Amino acid sequence: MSETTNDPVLSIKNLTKSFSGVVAVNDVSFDIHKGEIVGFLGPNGAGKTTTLRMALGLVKPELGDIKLFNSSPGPAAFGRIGFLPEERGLYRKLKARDAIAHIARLNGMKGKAAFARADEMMDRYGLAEAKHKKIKTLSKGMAQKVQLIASIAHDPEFLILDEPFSGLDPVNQKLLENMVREIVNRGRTIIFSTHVMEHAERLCDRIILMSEGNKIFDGDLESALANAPRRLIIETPSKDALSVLSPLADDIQQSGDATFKLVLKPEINAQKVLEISVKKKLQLVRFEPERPSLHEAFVEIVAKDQQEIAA
Amino acid sequence: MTNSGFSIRRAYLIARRDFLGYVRTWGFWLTTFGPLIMIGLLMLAPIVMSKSEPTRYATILDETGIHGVAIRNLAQAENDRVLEMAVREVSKLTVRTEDRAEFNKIIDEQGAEAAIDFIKKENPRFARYMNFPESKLRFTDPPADNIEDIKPYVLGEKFITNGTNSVKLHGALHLYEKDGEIEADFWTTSVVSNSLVNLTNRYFSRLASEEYLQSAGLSRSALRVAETKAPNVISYNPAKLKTATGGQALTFEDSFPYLVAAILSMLLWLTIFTGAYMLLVSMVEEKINKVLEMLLASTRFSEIFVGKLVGVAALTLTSLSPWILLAILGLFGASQFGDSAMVDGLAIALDQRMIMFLVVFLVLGFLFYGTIFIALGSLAESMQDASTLMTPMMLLMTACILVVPLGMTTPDSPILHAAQWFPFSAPFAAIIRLPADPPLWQTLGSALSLILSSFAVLWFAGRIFQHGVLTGGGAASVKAWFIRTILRRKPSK
Repeated sequence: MSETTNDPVLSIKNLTKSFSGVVAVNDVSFDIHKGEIVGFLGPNGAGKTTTLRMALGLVKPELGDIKLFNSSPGPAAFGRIGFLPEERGLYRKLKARDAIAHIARLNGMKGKAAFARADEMMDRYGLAEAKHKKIKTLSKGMAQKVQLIASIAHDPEFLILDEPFSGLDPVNQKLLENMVREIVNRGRTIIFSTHVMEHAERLCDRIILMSEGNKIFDGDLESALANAPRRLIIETPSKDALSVLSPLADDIQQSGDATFKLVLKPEINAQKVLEISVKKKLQLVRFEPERPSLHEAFVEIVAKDQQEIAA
Repeated sequence: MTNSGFSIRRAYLIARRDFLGYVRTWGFWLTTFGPLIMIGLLMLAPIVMSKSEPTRYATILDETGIHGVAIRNLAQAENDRVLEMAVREVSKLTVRTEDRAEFNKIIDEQGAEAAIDFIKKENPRFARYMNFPESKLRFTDPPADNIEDIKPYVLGEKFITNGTNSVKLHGALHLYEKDGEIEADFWTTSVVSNSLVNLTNRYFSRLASEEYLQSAGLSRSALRVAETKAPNVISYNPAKLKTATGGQALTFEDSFPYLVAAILSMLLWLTIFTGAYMLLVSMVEEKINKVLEMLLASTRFSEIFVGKLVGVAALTLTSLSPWILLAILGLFGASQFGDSAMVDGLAIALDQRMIMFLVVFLVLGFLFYGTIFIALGSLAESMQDASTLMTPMMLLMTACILVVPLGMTTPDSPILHAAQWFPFSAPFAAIIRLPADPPLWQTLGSALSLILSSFAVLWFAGRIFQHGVLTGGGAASVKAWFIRTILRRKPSK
């Protein structure tokens, strides 16, 4: 089947896989389109790595269908994808520059061009001094950067990064975020898995949440955050504040005499609280809606999912 | 670039990395040249030790008036014999086949010194490097006429004169009669150097046996003559063609091919085992390095498999290159200077058929065992795992090499016939059987069975490799996979 510009880069339909009777991935479907940067989130054991391995053709699914560049995953996509596996490693006795060039050459680059690209990228990402050092002599962080460069040196159209931030210090995590943005700005497509939600919040257009092998959410960041409980901080000297605010919140925590932290009821938003407060003539010193975190959204979505299953 | 088919370039890149990954290490070259260096050192050791041994001066105070001279004569005769043997060995490398008869005549009639002159004339360039053994024990006249006066020389209190040098006396042999019996006392400060003691013991031992034989009216020389008259059994082979120079008697030339086949079979085993072991180590290292998953996003299983086989095959050939070079030099030397019977035997043993099948079975054996070892390597998570997985294979391979002694003693053994069809022993059994001239179809059949087995192993090993690499391996997981995929049953938990 020929590939068209509107075809998704990766299309996964009803994917199921189990190991020794334990379901690792259960009926998962999603598409990834050109230019997207997708965060593939979930706790350890959620089925992220197995899904990504199946997407690459490294593991065969029991059920379902995968199209990578509108073809079955495997050799047809060689050279067009870059893959950073969860289990890191390169040839320990190879020099960093040679290791990058070797992977780039396997991905179709010519010898001289591969070495030139390795040099250029190592200079750009602060690894100039490590060029002629053996991998085994590099620090864990540096070796990880070398491996990341090896996975992108051939400028792949689609980049699959499995837990790219794990093991990196905050400075290198920031550097990696910048690298990811740079790649996306060149029109490339990225999916990366992580169990640290903050990276996804900062980088992603779209989020896919996995839990216990199931896809429990697929949408943009705002839609995901909408699932999180809304919080509001109100400071008021009014004596009847608690009685006014209580019907609007699932939970209220009072600190001191005048500050209230509210977890709003699902049908109530900050605007509604403001309207009622004005109507009831509460004297507002502070009115601050708190932005929910993706982590909270995730916990909420998982809880809803569990309830649905139980029902 | 079309990526969907098998890519020779990617297989080449895998092979290249595997090859260079080893070749660029000191360890590889140490392993390659280590045995050669050790052999060289072992060969040089006696020369170095002989060179470093100081010349020792000894004296014989002979009150019997007979045995002192006889012992010195025996020492000279033994030195001459050692020199003659050494000259004969050197002549194998320095005297051309056509000049050998003349050389033999000279050494037999004129002795070792004349033979050395002949070699120097024949091969002046080589003669410069010739270094023949010489005795470090020198005899000197007694510095005094009684042993008590000689002892200060042994103790180093007094010195004997050798030309312009004053040297310490290493030892003094005192021969005298006491109660009608000959006594021999050796005085020395050295507790370990006993060459003169050994020489004296040999002399008196011979003398005793000579006297015993004489008492019965016999002599040692007559005994030797009598021994030469004993009939010597000659073996004949009626299947052997009568030639102008020889009849149907079995000679060294006839048994030589069996010896060569045995050596080649052992070398084949060693080469295959070395290569297969390298593949296993290379595979385990990649698993430990955790690089395979990344490779598999850009390279087919088959390309990694083939690349590894080719890379390690090149590596094995490189590690064998000093030995191959040595063998070629040895063959060249033998053809130029060697014993004609040995050269003829080599020519018969290393005929076209032997060389062709040696190459065929080397390739097939490497393919067969290599694929098995790659698969085993893919299941291992550490070198310890690899050792455990390799043990049954090692036992099997050791059992297979037992066909070599069997082939030398009983080439028509039914076990050897069966071993030729069993893929694990086929390469070694087929080679060891070749001198017995088996029907061609049997050797070809053996090769065919190995080809078919190799394909089966390739298929099976490919699946184990995929499974081992992607699931984290482990023999238990392969057992479960085997039951599920091959036997189509549910593995018990």
